[in-house]
Amino acid sequence: MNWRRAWISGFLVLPFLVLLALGFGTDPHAVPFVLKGEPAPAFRLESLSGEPVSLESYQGKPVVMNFWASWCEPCKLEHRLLQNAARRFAGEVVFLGVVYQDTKEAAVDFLNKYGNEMTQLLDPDSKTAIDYGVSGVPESFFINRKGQVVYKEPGVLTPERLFGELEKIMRD
Amino acid sequence: MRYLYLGIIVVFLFGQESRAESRLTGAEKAKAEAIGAVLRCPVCQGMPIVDSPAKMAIEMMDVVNEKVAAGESEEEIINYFIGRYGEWVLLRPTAKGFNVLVWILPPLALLLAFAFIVYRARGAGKREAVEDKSGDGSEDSTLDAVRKEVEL
Amino acid sequence: MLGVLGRSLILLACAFASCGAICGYWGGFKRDTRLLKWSSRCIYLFSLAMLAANGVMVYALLVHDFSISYVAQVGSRSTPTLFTIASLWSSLEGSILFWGLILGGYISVFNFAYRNRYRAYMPFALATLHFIAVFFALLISGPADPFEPVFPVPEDGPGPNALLQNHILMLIHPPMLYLGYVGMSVPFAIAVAALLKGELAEGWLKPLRQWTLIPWAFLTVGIILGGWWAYEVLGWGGYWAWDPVENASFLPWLAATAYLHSTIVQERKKILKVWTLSLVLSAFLLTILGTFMTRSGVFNSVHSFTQSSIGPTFLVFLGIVLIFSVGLLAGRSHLLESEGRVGSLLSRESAFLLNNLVFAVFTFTVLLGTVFPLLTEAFKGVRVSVGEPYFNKMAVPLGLLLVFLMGVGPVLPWGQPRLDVLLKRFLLPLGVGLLAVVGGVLLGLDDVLVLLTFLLVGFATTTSFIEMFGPALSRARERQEPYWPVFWRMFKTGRRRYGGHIVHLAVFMMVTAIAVSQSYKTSIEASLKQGESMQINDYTITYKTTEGRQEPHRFSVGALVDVFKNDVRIGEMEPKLNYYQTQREPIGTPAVKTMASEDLYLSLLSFEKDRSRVAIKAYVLPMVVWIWVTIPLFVLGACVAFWPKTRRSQAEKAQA
Repeated sequence: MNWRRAWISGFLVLPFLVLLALGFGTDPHAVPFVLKGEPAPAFRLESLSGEPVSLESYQGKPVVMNFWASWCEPCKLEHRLLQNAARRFAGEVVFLGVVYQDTKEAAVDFLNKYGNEMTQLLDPDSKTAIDYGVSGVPESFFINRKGQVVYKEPGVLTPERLFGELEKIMRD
Repeated sequence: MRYLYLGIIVVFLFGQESRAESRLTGAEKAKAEAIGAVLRCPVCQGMPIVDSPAKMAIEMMDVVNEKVAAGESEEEIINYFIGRYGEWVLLRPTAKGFNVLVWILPPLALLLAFAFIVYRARGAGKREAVEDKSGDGSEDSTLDAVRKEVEL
Repeated sequence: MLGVLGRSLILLACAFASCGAICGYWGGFKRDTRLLKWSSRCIYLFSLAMLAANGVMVYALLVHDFSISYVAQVGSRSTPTLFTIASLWSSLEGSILFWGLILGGYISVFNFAYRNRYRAYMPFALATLHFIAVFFALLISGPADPFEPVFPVPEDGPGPNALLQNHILMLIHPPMLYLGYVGMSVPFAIAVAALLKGELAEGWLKPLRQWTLIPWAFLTVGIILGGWWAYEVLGWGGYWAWDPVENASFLPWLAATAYLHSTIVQERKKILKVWTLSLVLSAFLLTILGTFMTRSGVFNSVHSFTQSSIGPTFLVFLGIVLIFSVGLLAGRSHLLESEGRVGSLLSRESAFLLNNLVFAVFTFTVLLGTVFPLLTEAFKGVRVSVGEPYFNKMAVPLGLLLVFLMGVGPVLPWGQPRLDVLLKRFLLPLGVGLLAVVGGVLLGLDDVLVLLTFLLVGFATTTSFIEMFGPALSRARERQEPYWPVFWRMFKTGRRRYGGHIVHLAVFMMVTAIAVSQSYKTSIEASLKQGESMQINDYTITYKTTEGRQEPHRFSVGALVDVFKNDVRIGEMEPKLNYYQTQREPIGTPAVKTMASEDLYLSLLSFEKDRSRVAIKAYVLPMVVWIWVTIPLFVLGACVAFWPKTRRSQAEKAQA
């Protein structure tokens, strides 16, 4: 047995193992967030009550955009939290809900059942969702006064996250 | 969530009768399909949007079709999606920077393999010429002799 | 109660395996026959314990004992019995338990087959298998414990993964794949034994070859069945998407195939010993890597089982085996020197060498593409994807190169060729290849790659046929004997060679079918009102109505359509969407009308509740059925190559 050669070659494969180990640290299903710091994509959508709404109309105000659907179980979890925040920060922060891959009727039913304090928009062909790089619901975007996307929550919002990010977009 | 790629609840898909696809010419349709073949469907994790039956993929394909109809170039359309979903959305890494490796290494390996074989065979050929022809070579000289080697 | 029983059995299995490993290595080095006997007994005991543990689990699934974690996770009172049994391998923990059972089966048969032979090697081989068995027993008793108690005991469970109980192929495809994966442990152990012993005697090559052929055949069938399953269930008209999990099964297959070829050169020319052994070791390592990729969630894939704690355990095992293999290979390689040498560039050994290097490059490419996202994430912090367009671009030339070599290789003689003889031998195959191209053009095919495939396949198929039937012809003529008895005699003495050619023919058939089905598939998507029709190629599809059916485990919605070909009604089809309780998204059952020349494939995308309208995607996919048809051909080839020689044919060979 040539031990020296054996050991040296054995350790040559370590980088590969380290690479695989590193792979553990990452969530393979997460879609990267590339809009960070970029201007938020503009949109013009119809609200549930029928008026046209565009992002420009909220210029100078911080905006929270929440993509959701009535068929989405996790969306129910964060619904009340978002409603409370929308009530509390009314006038300071704009809370927009965007209905994703859902019918108007189902969305209205859902909101009648669970309550609503936000402006709800319809995105029938998901153009706006694609513009924001949405890959599933719920997903929330935080936009500051300058109209830049500051943060994306790729899942259910926690109160800490929500209020922490709200503070940031209200500050700058 | 794991099997979201099968998200075929497209019960709500109707209402968009005039999909952009139907307005495309043959060449434009081919162009859109080529673009759709390299874009990854975000809810399927690994399938191109042109193949996937998921609603998200169908909608992304619509965006591609519309942009093709509006006369945007392949590069512009792909860059649009990269701007939204990152390089991750591209099923075929761009041959730039670090990614060059994934394109270069396999052909390089093949080239090295060829070189190795030519090198070994030429060495062998010279030796064979100097030494005497060993039995292996000559016994093969006729067709029938080879046929006799049924026991491989 | 059952849980305690199951877990005790696993711990028992673990104990037997550990004991066997120690006895085996110790006995092997000290040449102590008593210890070796115990090592061999431990194998049977391990297998019995594993069998019993699996029996307990199946029983628990059948009686719906939801106090056991795995049953609570995958069991359901509404699942049909057949799928309840199959749920043993439908989820992570159960599939690893099942893995243990297969491992037990393999090593018992291996041990029994060679109980009185290869005394110098067997201890090391058995000990290595014991070591692998210890790992799996540990995995089942700890990180992937399926027998964990659940409290409070639920009334009912969610049932197995809906995707897996959606199609009957799921009953056969995973076991086939596992038989392939697990079986690679045996050649690994054989190779390790050779390296530990420091020599690779002629006699030890045969077990190595035969025990690689078995898992290779299972893996081949498993991979094709996997493609078939994807085709019948996923509804996108495709069968292979270069998904990390598919790659995980393809990688060991590539390595094992390379081995099956390199061993021919090794036996014949006494060269490539180290290379051959490395291929065997890699095949096993790649199965472990594949399992790691599938089960740990490191890779982005639709098939991945949920993320779990078994990832790190697997990584440690992979690390140990990898370092051990590479170290062993490096430390022992000088003992396995080549005795022969390569002939000229146009010799058969060069063709084999090239074949092996192409396989190696192929394996490397697939591996690189699969782990590349990890690389960029680690080095650049950017997440990229490597998918179908990349792999297709890389795999097509490599695949065609392999077909070319399959055609040229058998024509080239060992050693030094004579050019004039060579050219004569190329004429007929080349002619047939060109004829195939002309035929393709006349049929209206215009894709360059498809025509190139026709040329190469025509060439290679002819070579294979000449190689199979030609020798007997010249022998029969020479001796003026009737043809078939001569052929049969040659067939019996040269089974491996004939088996190899049968497998090659299967590959040619598959390559052609893949090339044509990929290049000439057409699809169209339409939304139809009742009575409306859509048109694809020669087919007219008319929507009639939608039907919903409540089945025990699912609610199924089917769209009934009439299908006409050139205005002649050829039947009714019903693409379906199935709704499972546990799953929001429905799972499709595409309707496939299979014909010899093409498949009509309908996928139901959506429907309206009042039946007024459906959206259907229709595909016409030429020649797809020829991919599945290769399965029996592959199996036949493997069997022919594997079948041991009878004494009589050995005697005949001695005479000849």
